[in-house]
Parts: sequence; structure tokens; C-alpha cells
Amino acid sequence: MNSQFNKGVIELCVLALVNTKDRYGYELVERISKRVEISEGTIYPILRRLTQDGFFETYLQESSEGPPRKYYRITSQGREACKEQVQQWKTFSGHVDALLK
Amino acid sequence: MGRVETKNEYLAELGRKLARLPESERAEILRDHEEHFSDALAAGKSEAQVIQGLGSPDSLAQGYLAGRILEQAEKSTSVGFRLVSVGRILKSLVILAPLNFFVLIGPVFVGGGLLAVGWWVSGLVGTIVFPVSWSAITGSILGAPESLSRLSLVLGGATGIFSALTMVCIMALLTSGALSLVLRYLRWNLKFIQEGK
Repeated sequence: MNSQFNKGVIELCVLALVNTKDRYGYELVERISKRVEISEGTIYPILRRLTQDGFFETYLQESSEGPPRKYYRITSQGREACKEQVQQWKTFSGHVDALLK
Repeated sequence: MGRVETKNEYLAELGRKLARLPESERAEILRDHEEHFSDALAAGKSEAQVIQGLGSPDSLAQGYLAGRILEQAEKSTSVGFRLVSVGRILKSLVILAPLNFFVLIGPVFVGGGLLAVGWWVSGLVGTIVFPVSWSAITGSILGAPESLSRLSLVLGGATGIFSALTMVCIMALLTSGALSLVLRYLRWNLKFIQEGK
């Protein structure tokens, strides 16, 4: 798929996935790259920025695979941002769909 | 340094490229990517595959560096610091995506050019208006014959100085406004580059 379409949407995917439940980095990379073609290095800077902006909190949890995993949990501020961005996306994609018919 | 081929080489190189970040932040970014390696290896990938997926340590690091400088510049109120930051962010963004240079150069050049012209004009006007106004005021106090012309000289001089100062203030406001706009543009550009990869 055209990677031009990715721009701006990856952040929305990350927000929406963490909004449903707490998640760790590799899980997000896997989930998103299964459907959207991205470089795996893309996700971590986005996670960092969203955490710095106060949309996520993080905590460490032991894992059987190796070092403890860092989990991302959405904050109320993040939930608001997610709601808003999902709304914007639906409006936008609705308009595009209508034009393609 | 040549190609990085193993997890340890990759993390070491990433760490070196992030040397300008505060130690705690650098350690945390390294930790995140170490976790990524260990999860990806556990899922059956080879180190080479993980490295290919992550992209070069240099471009990964430049993204973090640009993000960090942007964040500091956004918080800062010092025009000088913000100007220096814009230069450093531009450098990172061009290393990240060389062709991006042509996208960046337009707005930054036009904005910077307009400001430079503005400062040049106000500097020129200032160097003319200031001495003239000043000598009008001092001259009138020292020895103008009639009180009416003395008053008009003082008023004229004061108006001159006042308008020159106003012009400098307006230029200062324009400069800091333009810097904020440039920073917002760079933030958007960084996001665009990172998500488009």
C-alpha cells in the first residue's frame, strides 16, 4: 500500500489500540504492521511523544521472554484526544468514501 | 562505523548517536529498543531482520534528537535559543530524509528573509531617526529662541524616538511569532517523515 496514506494515521492507531487496553511496544508494532506497512522503528518515537504529551502513562511488568516490559496505559487526556481523532478520521474517511462511489 | 549486524552493535551505535540526550532519557530509549529486540527474537525473528525493521541507528537517533530539541525550543522563551534550535532541528531532519531539504528550505528561507529585511529597515530608520530626534531635543533645551518652537522641537524629537522604539518592538514580536510558526512547522514535518517511513 502507498506509504503516503500512513502519515498521521499511525498515531491514531496507537492511541486507539492503547485506548482498548494497556499494551507494550512490540505488541503494538505487531498489531499495526500486520495491517499497515510501517517501519518498526516508527512506533517507539510515537509512543515516547504521546507519553510526553501526557496521553499515556507507563509501568514496567515482568515478562517471561526477557527484560521487564514497558506497558502503556491511556490517561483521561489521552482518551479525549483519541475520541477527537477517531471522530475526525470518521468524518474524513466518510467524505472520501462518498467521493469514490 | 560500518554496518551494524548484531543486536549489541545496534544498541551500542544507537547509544553513541544519542550521546547528546540527558543520560536518563538515553538509557530509557535504549531500554525500549532492547525490549523490542528481545520480544522480536522470542517471536522467531533473527537479529538481522529486527535491525532491518528498525532502520539505521543513525536515522532512529536523529528522530529522537530532533524531537527532544523541538520540545525544549517550544518551552523556551529565549529568541536566541529558539533560533539555534531551529538550525539544529533542520540538520537532524535533513539527515533523516535528505530530500526533505527542499520541503524545508522554502518556508524557512522566505520567513527568515522577510524578518532580515524588516530588521534591516528598522535598523536603518533607527540610525537616522535617533540622532536627529535626539539633537532636536537637546538643541531645543540648549538654545532655541522662542518657547513655541522649543516645544515643537521637543515634541517632534520625542515622537521620532517613540516611533523608532515602536518599530523595534513590532519587529521583536514578529520575530518571536515567526519562530513559533517555524517550530510548529518543523514539528509537523518531523511527524510526517517518521510516519511515512
